[in-house]
Amino acid sequence: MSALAHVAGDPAVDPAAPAPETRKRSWTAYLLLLPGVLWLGVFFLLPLVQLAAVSLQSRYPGFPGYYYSDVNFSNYAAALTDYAPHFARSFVYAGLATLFAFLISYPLAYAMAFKAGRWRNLMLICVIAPFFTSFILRTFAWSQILADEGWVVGVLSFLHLLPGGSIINTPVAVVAGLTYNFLPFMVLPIYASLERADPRVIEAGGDLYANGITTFRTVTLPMSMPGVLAGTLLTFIPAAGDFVNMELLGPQRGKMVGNVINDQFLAVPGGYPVAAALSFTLMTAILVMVFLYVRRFGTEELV
Amino acid sequence: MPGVRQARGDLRLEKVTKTFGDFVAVDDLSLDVPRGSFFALLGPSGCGKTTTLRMVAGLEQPTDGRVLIGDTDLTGSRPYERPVNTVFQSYALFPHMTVRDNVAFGPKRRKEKDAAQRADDALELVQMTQFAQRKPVQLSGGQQQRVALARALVNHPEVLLLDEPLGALDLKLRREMQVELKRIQTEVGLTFIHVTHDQEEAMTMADTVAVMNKGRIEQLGPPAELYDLPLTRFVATFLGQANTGVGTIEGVDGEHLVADVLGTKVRILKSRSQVNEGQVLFGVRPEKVTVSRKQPDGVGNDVKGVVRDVSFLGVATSYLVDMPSGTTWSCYEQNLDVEPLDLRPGDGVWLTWNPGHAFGVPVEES
Ligand SMILES: Nc1ncnc2c1ncn2[C@@H]1O[C@H](COP(=O)(O)OP(=O)(O)OP(=O)(O)O)[C@@H](O)[C@H]1O
Ligand SMILES: [Mg+2]
Repeated sequence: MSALAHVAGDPAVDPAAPAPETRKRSWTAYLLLLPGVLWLGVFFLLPLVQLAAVSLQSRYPGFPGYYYSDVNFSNYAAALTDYAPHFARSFVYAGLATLFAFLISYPLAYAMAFKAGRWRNLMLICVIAPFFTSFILRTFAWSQILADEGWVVGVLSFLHLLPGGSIINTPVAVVAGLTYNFLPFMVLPIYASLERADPRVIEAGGDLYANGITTFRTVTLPMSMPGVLAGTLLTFIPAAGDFVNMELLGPQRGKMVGNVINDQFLAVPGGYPVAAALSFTLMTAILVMVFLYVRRFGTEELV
Repeated sequence: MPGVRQARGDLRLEKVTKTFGDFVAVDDLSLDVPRGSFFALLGPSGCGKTTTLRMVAGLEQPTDGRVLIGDTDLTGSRPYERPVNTVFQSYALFPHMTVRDNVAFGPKRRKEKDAAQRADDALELVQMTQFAQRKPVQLSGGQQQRVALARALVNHPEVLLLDEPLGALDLKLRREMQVELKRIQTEVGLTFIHVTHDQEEAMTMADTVAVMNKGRIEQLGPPAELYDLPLTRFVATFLGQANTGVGTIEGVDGEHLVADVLGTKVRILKSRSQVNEGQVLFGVRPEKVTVSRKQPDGVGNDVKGVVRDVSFLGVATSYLVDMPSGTTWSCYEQNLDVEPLDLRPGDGVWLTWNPGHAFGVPVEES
């Protein structure tokens, strides 16, 4: 402890002080935090500040791609007026993907936690397996699956269930891709919370005159709410900012806000301030939504 | 009460068997528990107590046999259809609900109009009113246990199943809760089936104790009867202490059987021996044995031994005595004499007992 204190140059340290243990522990805690804090500071906080500064810059008139530092909120105004539909689409598609992912994941997680028996580990591996290939690659695979020549479209057309005759390059394909890509983020937290639940507690529901459905509604589902909450956040947040699914599976027009940001940064000369403003608006909007959502559905464990 | 079967009367298990794979957890068990009695199921870990309770609750279906309350056959019905409630070994309170909502859960499911009022009454019964708004995690083990009890009691089930509900408590709290449980049972007059592996708990609380071993009931009766006259070796040694010795029956002397236990002749009342010939396990309880320095005059029935250890317990003194047969007996003497015996390890002593207290059980475990 004294060595540590020496390095830290703490003059208040008295070797005979009665609390060296606690002091040592608190120093250890800070040391352990250091790499993470540094990492976040350099690679998250600094760029964030820089992005904020960029979002307030103004363009030199007549010199595309050149800006000067300013406090100019017109970028935000532009972001909100020009791209409101993109924001709306982002949230609707992400919301739908979250809903579908939930509807698929809950039964799956439930089966894994309570019914799978010795198949449980295999099922877990199957859920995680897609992570072994890259995100982009999987999304490309979906463009194959949903292609006009693919069997999905073939079967649906044959059954006369597909009036448009095509899935790829439609919002349906985008939502399908988002749902698929973020499914494990929904399954795993729900599975974890169900798996942790004491089976006796669920039996107690039956013992106290609740039939299967009522027990599920009043006991099992509420007990897994922390998992549902985590899963929906882990799905919705990245899905709302995603642009890859739209890029590879979506239509030419009617993009999501992620695509606009991507284009403004990379393709549009002088697009930086607007892109930065869009990024900030998206971040704020998601933060507000998450806050309201957690306030409404949160349990003590998460808030 | 939608869905719940109306059934009143004694709980009966008829030839109930439960197997898991090829492991027999409960083996051809028949049981009759009179309505309103406090019944204790006592047995070592893994003997099938919980499995038996779960079959009564409907959480497990018997492989064979029937479960009845009164004349209503409940075999095959679902837990929520049975007028039976369980206090689980681990309490199993709903973690996301307050104490009051936990207790009101049953009445609400049964569409009782005054569910909240009933919950409050039940909480008062277990003296937990002041904690009604807390969540289970904010309670101590003993408090959670009371909530679990209230949550079951509030439904006035025909049969209340308690699966080692006091297992997690320290000794003092355990004793307090035992008294409280007994008080509540007398007050509400329900059938209680109390599972425990603490023999003292079973004996102090229950009207009837069933000793279970390897999925079977070895013996069943009032605690005093089981203690006084065990019918099997397992019951003799599981319920209280017993000084035992393996002997051979050599003959009959009036009302008594005479057996030779490693050179010592002992007598057992015919009515108190489960075997009449061949090998017998002779037994006598420690407090029935008298320790003295000199050979007492009288009918015999005495053995000379050597004191190994003396512990003064206050109300009594406990002696460990090495017997000529090589076994060690324990004896309790109440400290009634003005001049105490003052025995030391190594002293020779005579042990005597009234043959009326001895018992004989089969040597082999059934
Ligand atoms: N679902 C199950 N599958 C397989 N075996 C089981 C199952 N439930 C119980 N058993 C077995 O049945 C036997 C009896 O179990 P039970 O839980 O009834 O014991 P118990 O008397 O309650 O013991 P304890 O005092 O330790 O609680 C045990 O050997 C146990 O391993
Ligand atoms: Mg048990």
